[in-house]
Amino acid sequence: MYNMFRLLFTHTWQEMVRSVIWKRSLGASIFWGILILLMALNMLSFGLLFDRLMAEIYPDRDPVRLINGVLLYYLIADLLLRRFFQRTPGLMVKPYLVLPVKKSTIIHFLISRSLINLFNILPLLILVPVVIRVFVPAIPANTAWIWFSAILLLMMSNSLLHLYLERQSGLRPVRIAIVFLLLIAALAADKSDLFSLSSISGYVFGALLDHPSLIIIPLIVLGSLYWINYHTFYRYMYLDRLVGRTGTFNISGGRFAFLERLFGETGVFLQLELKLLTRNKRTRSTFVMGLVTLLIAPLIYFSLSRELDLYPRPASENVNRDHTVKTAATDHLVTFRLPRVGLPENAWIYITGDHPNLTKWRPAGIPMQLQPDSSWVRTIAFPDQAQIRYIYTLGSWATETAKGDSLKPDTQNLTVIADTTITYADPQWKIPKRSVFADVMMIYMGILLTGILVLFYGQFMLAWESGYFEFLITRNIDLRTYLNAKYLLLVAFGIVNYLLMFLMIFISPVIVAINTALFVYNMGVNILILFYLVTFTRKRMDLNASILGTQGKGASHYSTILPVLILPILIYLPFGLSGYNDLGMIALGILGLIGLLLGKPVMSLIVNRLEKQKYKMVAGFRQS
Amino acid sequence: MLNVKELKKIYNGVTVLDLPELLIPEGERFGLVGNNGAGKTTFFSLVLDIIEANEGQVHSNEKPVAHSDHWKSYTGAFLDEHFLIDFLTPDEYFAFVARLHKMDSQQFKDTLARFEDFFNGEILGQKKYIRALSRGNQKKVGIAAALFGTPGVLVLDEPFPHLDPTSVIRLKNILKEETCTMLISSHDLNHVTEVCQRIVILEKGLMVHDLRTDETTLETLNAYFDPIKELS
Repeated sequence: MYNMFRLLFTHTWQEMVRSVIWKRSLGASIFWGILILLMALNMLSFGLLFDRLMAEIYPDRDPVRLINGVLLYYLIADLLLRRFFQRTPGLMVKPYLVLPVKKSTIIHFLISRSLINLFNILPLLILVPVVIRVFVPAIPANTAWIWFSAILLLMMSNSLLHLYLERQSGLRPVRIAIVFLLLIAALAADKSDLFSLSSISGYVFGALLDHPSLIIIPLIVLGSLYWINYHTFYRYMYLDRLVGRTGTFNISGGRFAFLERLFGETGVFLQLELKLLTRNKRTRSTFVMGLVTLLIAPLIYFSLSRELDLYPRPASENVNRDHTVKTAATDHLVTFRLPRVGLPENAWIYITGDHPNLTKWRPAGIPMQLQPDSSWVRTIAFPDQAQIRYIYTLGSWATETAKGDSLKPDTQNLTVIADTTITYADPQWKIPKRSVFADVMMIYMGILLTGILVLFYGQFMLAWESGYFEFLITRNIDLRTYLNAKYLLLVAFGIVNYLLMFLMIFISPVIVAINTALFVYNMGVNILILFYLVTFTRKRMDLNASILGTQGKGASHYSTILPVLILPILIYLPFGLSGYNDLGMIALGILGLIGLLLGKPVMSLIVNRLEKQKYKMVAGFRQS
Repeated sequence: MLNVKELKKIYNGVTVLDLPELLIPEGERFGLVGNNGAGKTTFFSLVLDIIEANEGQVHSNEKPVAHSDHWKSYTGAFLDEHFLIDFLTPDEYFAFVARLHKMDSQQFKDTLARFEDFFNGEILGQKKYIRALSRGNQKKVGIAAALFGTPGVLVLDEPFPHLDPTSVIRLKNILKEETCTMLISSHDLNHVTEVCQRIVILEKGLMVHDLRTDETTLETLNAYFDPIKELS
């Protein structure tokens, strides 16, 4: 039994080493080798620098608790991602079925083999350094390594859970998509007090650190999953069961039939397009990859939100802190008061100054208190005869009170000699602006994240159809109607995408405002750019190949990123650099609207171009 | 019906097809034979405007085929699997083609009924995508779809291989019943002489023989392609 087991793994190793990937060409092997090495190095250095990175970004948070907080997110995302990148080694055992090998040996091999995959190995590159540099100094080394083992066991459990779910065909794309959406929503809602998956996660894994004996739980989970898998495989160890579906399964043909009633002839092509999308592995994965990428949106916007947070809000304990406590009997109470005029709803007024009691010029020094009569008041104790200089801000030096056309800071002087109330009438404020850098990041991410479903799927339009392109151009199909169907579908994707990104309103309404302009730009301009670019497609795309490979992708696809992502930034920059940030965003929105209005004539040009390019496309599709 | 004039296709300086003149009258069943590389598929691709000619033109119904759509409504073609949408079921594929020909549901049913024997119960209502069908059955789907909407011109490249013997006979009967102009290429000299009224032999892009089919045609063809004769 043991020898057979080892032999099977030897075969696996040989299969890997002798794979066609390495045979293709020396150059490609070197390229992939370097790429994998670079990725491994990146992950390793991320792990090694993790503690410093955390100290930089979250100086006031405990990195151990931070990691525990995201673990649950990671494990859920990990399980979902395996659906697309982890392959069940079902077919591999085919040759052994007819050889005198014990059935149980094959099954043990199959299950253990499935544990060897990138999802279980790559994270170690980050995890091991993190345990050594973050956990071991903070908590007893034994506990740290038990924690590490628990995570490892859970990742392995994920492998086996995936194996089981796949066997039960429980990983339907629709279900996965729903879980993804819930995950995005949870991420976005995490900052609010409504629901926080990260505190659950922190609690669960915190408990593990307090009681290391709890490691028994992941052990039991892994063991049970192994046991369940073993028995499922034992029952199903027949070729047809192993390979799974053989092409015959339920087809709900009428699912998209309503489209024809709704859109007429365009609806016929819409149906075809939706079948193309849902019935082929590569199109499906591409679409889901888009959804997966949306998961990073909350993370990115959390980190960008500081740049967008022009009016920082004070912590409630700072608002309620009592500054009227006298340290000496001679101290005086000074009450500062100013009206609320011409300020945005979310602005908060602070007072700061040179005196220690005024925080020595910290821009968000002492938050003022808002009174029912909508004036801002704060009473602070000062020693007798104190000479103080002070100024009001909205939380940053970009927002102090100012006087005159040149908006000079309006610093006030005061010598404290008695209890007084000072009213500052008619305050004028420097109105803050987002930095150009923040805006460029917002455009870059916004174009990508409000358009990812459109861009990921749309950039391969017509390449998806390379298998039956000759059918399309020899039948009496009106190319215009055909492309219109695609246009409609992409717009529908865009709207879904935009609605998902609307969840970012939890983080900041500014994000949604900017993303609205970018969404319109994506729909109006970028979709047309995509349509133009796909007429350069020359490579046949295999709809059953993995989306990770380069099969069927050409220069026209790789160059998509330039006009789509860089052009809007170039349009924005002249506005942003001359100080009209919002106008730059509005300009993008207006360009989008113009694009939407000009859609028809531009599509005619594209149809004409396609008529001329079709010969080259057919030739390309036939060759590659 | 089809009129070819001064048609030339050149790949990398090599002339792969050179047809100074060829007229295929309406309703003729036209057979094309020749060894690999003779230019059969190239000719069909030019007829279907899938590739661009270097010189000359193909006229269908007195109008040039290139850069035009007029012929698409009356031309049915099946060259290879690139004419199939393999993630559809055969039923869906036929319905789609019927929709392109603006057939109503009665016409659609009648058309499918015509192929009932040919399909041998293995094509319709199978809950299988075309990509999961055997090659022979895929071919049947493609040929039947090409015959949808009573085409005026039918182009079939190698329709007989992969079909079982019964299906070959049924296909030949279907083709002989058709009244449309038909372009068929084949390596099988028996089948092509049985179906076609006229046979053209291509060699290295040139038309070397243009025969009316009669009792001696098969003999002539066999003699022409006999390798021993070439040696002597």
